[in-house]
Amino acid sequence: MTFDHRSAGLKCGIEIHQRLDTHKLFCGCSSALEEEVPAMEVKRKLRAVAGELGEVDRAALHEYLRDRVFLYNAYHGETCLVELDEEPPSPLNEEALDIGLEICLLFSAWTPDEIHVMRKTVVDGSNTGGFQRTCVIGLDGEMEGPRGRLSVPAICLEEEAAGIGGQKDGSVVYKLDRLGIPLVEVATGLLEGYSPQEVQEIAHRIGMIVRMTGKVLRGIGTIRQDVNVSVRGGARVEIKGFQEIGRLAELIEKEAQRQISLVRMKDEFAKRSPKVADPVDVTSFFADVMKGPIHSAVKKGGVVLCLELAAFAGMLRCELCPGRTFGRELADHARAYGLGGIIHTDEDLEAMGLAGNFARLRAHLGAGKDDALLIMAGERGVLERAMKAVKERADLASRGLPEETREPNPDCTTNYKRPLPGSSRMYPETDIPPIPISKERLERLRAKLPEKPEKKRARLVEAGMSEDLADQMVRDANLPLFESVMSKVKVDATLVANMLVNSFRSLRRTGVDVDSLTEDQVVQFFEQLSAGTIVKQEIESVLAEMAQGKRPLKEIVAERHRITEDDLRRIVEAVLAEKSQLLAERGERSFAPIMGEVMKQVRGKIDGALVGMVLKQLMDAKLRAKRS
Amino acid sequence: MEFENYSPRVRAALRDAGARPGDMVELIRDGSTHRGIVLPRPLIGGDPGSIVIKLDNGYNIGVKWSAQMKLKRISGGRALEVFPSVSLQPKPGLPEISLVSTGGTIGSRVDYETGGVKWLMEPGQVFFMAPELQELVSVRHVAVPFLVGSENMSAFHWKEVARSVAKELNSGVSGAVVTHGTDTMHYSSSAVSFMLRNLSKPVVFTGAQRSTDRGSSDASMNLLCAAIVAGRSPIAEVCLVMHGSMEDTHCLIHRGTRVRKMHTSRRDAFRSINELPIGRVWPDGRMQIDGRHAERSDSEVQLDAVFEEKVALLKFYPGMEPEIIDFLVDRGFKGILIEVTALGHVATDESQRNLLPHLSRAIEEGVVLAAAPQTLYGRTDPWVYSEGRKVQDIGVIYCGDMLPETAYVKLGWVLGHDPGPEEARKMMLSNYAGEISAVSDPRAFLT
Repeated sequence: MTFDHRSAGLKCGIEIHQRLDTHKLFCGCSSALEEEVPAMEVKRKLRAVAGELGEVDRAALHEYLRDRVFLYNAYHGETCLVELDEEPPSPLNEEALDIGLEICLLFSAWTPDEIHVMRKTVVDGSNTGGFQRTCVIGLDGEMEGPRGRLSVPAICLEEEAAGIGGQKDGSVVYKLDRLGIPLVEVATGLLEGYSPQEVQEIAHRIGMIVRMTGKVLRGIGTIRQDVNVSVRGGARVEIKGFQEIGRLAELIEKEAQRQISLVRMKDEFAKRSPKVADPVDVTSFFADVMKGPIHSAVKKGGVVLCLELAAFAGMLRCELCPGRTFGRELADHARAYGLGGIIHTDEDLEAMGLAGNFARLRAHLGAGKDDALLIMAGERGVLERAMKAVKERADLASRGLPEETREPNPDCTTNYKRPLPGSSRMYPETDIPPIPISKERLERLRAKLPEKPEKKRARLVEAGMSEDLADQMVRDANLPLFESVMSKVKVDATLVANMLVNSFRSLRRTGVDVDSLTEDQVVQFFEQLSAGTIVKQEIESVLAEMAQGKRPLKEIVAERHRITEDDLRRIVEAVLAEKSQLLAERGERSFAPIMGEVMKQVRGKIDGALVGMVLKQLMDAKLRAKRS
Repeated sequence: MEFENYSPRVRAALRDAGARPGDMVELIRDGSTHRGIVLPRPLIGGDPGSIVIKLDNGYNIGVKWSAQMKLKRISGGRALEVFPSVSLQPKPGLPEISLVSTGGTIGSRVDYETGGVKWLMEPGQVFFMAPELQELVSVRHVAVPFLVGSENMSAFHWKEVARSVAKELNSGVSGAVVTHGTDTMHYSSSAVSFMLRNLSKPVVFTGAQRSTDRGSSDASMNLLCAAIVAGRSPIAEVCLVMHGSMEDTHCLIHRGTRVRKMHTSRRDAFRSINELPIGRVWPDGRMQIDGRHAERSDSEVQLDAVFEEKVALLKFYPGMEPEIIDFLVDRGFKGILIEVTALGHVATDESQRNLLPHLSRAIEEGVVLAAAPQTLYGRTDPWVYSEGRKVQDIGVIYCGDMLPETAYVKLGWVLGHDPGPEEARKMMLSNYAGEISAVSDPRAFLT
C-alpha cells in the first residue's frame, strides 16, 4: 500500500543541526574530535530539578527515576573544566556567533537586538550541567521550498551534547570531546500538506544554505535532523538525531505508518474490553527454567513479574510498521530502565521452551484465550518501575497515542526514548551576560555574504560544469571542501566536483570512510593530481588508501611510482648521454650536477643511496672507457 | 522596583503601557511585532535600553526600545517563579539535627524567569534538593539567623552563627549543619571553632560550588553528607564537608580550622592543609573516620563569641611600602596577622623598604603582630635565616603551621578577650580547635 500523506493528515516539522568549524562555544577547546584515549573519567549523578513553574519537568523526572550514574570521559585539548561543569563558561565564541548571524542573514531572519543565552534542562546525562546552553539568534526567517516560500521561525546557536561512548558497569559513558561544539539549529514551522519526499527536500535545502557559509564541519555526525511527525488522530512524536538526510522521507513514512497502525489498534480495542491488571510476582512459575535471561535474573536474586493484559491476545504481534510490533513497542519502555526486554504470549513460546510455564501461569491467573500475558525478569526495584511504565503504555493503547521522543534505528524505524519534554524548561544562563548585536556587525556580515545556492549553481555551469553535476555539487555536504580546493589548487572544477560527488559516493558505498579525510589531505591530493603524480585511473584507490589513514599521501604516491634498478640504470644512462660534454670537461667533478639531474627524475621513486651508487658505477665506467 | 535595571526611558515606556513583570506584551516596530512575556532585566551586562521578553518557545530576547516603537500590554499576570518545596516526614529513631541556614549558593536559587538569584526562604525549599535526608536524619529545627553571601560576612555574622549553633546544640539535637556561601566558609568555620567552647557535638559547614538550579549541583550530595556527619558521626568538632573529588561519589570531612578554599570553581575546591582530612562520608550514610578528633559527650556547649574587629590580615610582598603598617597602627588596629614569605620573612635592614622599624613601632604601641606562612603548606620557623630571627626578636608571634586565615580569625578572637601581650602570645600558640600542631604529617601536601 502506498502512503498517502494527505489522507493521513501528515504534519511534520524539522530542525537541522549543523556543527560549525570553530572552537567550542563556551571555552577555548578544540572541536576536532581527534583524541582517542580519554585522559580522565569522572563519575556523576544528575537530579531532577524544578522546571520553570516550580514543577519538576516531566522528562526530567522520568530520567531521574532511572537512578543512573553517568561516566564522563575527558580528553586532552578537547575538554577542560567547562565541559566537566567545574568552571563557569567563557564568553560566547564570537566567531561562532558571526557564522550563526551569517546563516540568519541567508534565511532573511531578524536578529534580536540583544541575545540572551538560555539553559535548557536536559537530564539524560548528555550535558554535564544538566542543561544545554542555547540562544535564539534569528526569528521570522524564510526560504524557498518545493512549493514556494516557507517560514523558518527560529534559528538558534547552541552547544552540542556529549556523545555516548558505550556502557560500563550499567552506566552510560559519555565522551566530553563533543560537548560544547557550536551548533546552528534551523527549525521550520509546521509543514502541513507536504509529502515525506518534499520534507526531505526541504531538509536538503536547509543543509545546503547552511553550508554556503563554508564554515561548517563535515563528516559523520556533523549534521543531523530532529523531526516532528504526527498524523490525524496520532500524537506529536519527536525523532531525534537522524543523520541520513537521504532517507528522511523513509523515516517519516515509517513513523506515520506506526501512528496510523496505533490509531487503528485503538479502534480495534474499542470493540474489545481491554484491561491491564497490576503486575504480580510469578517467580515460582519459572523456577524450572534453567537457561536464558529469566534464569540468570532469578539466579542473581531477581524476580519475575507478570502483567495480565485482558483482551490483548494477538495485539502484541500486530505489526505497526515494517519490523516493529506492538510488543516491541512495550519492550522499549522496559529497555528505558535498562532491562533486556519482555516475553509475551503472542510470541512463539514453544521455541523458547516456555509454553508449559505460561500454560500453568494462564491457568493460575484464570486468563482466557483472548487475554495476553507479559513477563519480565530482573532486580525487583528496577523491575517494578519498568513494569509500571509498560503497564502505563499498555493502558494507553485503548485510549490513544502518547507524545514522545524517539530515536532512529538503522532501518529507519524508531525506538521509544522518553516522554516528550514539557515546554517550560528554559531559563537564563546567568553566567553569560546578554549580548547586544550592533547594526554595524550585521552590516559587516551582510557585505560579505556568500552567494546563494542558485547563484552558485549558475556560476559553476557558466564555468563549464554540466547542469547536473553543478546541481549535485551545490547540494553536496562537501561544497565547502570544493570551494576550498578551488581556491587553493589550480585544477579543473569538473574534475574536483566529479570526485567529491561521484568518487566519494562510490567509495562510501564500498565502506571507505572518505569523510574522515581532512581538508588539508584533500587539497594535497589535488596538488598531486594536478602535478601529474597521480593518474586518473588511480584516483579511487589512492583516496581509499588515504582514508585508511596509515600513511601520508607522499608515501602512497611514491610507492605507486617505484622504479626498478634496471629502470634506474636506463635513466642514468640517458642522463649521462645527455650530459656527455659536461662529463668530458669536468670528469669526476661532474658527479654532483649529474646526480641532481637524475634525482629530478627519480626522486621518491627509488632509494637515493642506490641512485648514487649506480651513477658512480656507470660514470666510472664511462670515464675509464674514455681514458683507455 | 521590578524594572529597576532598565534605562529610565524603558521604565517610563513600561509604566505608560501599564506592564508589570510576567505580563504578555507586544513590541511593534517597522511593521513587525514581537510578542512575549516581559521580564525584569538581569543586573549585569547587556543594554539597559533593551526590553527583555520571553517568547512562546521559551527563549528570551532583548528588543531595543526606541521612540518609534509601540509597546502594548496584551494580557497580564502570569505568576512568575514559585520555588518548589517538599515537607520532610520526621521518622522516629533517626538522629535529630538542626540546620542553620546563612545564605550562599546552597541557600539560593536562580529565578527561572529573570536569571536573578533569590534566597530560599523556606526549609522545604532547601530540602527539595535532597529529600533523601529524611531517610538518614530527622531535621528538628531550621534556624535562619540571616541570609547573606559569604563575601559580605564579617565578625558580626560569625558571632551570630556561633550563637545560633550553640542554641541548637544545647536544645538536645545530635548535631548541627550550617549551610553557607563557599567563598569565605573556611573563615566562618574557623571563627565558630574558636567561639564554641566545650564543644560536645558535630557542627558541620557545607555549601555548593554549582548553583542549585542545575541537575548537576553539588548541593544535594554535600547537604546529605553534612547531615550524616552532623547526626551520626562521633566528631565533636566544627568540620566542613564538601565534595572529595570532581565525582559525585563521596565528600571529605575537613577540620574547620585546617581547611581552605583552593579553587575558584571546582566541586572539590576545599582541601585540608597541613593535615589529612578527618575522614570521608558517602551519601548513603557510610563514614570512614581516620583522623584524630574530639569525641562526643553530653556536656553543654559554651558560647565564647567575642571578636576584636580592629585586626587586619596583611600579605607581605616584595617591595611592600612599610607605611602600610604605620597606617594600621595610626588607625588604632589592635592586631595584624602578616602573611610572611616561606619560613617567616619580610624585608629587613638589607632592603630600602625595611619593615622592622615599623613593626617595632607597632609592637611598642601595643599592637599584637603574628605571622603565618603565605605558602600555606609547612610551618614558620624564625631560626633558619637571620631575617627570621630579627622579626621574631622584635616580638612577632610565629604561628607555626596555622593557616593565615585561621590565624587571622584566631587573633581577632584572642584579642576579643582583651588579653595583655604575653597572654595574647600564649593564647595564639595554644591549641583550641586543632588549628596548630607540633607535628608535620609528611602525607599532607597537595592532597
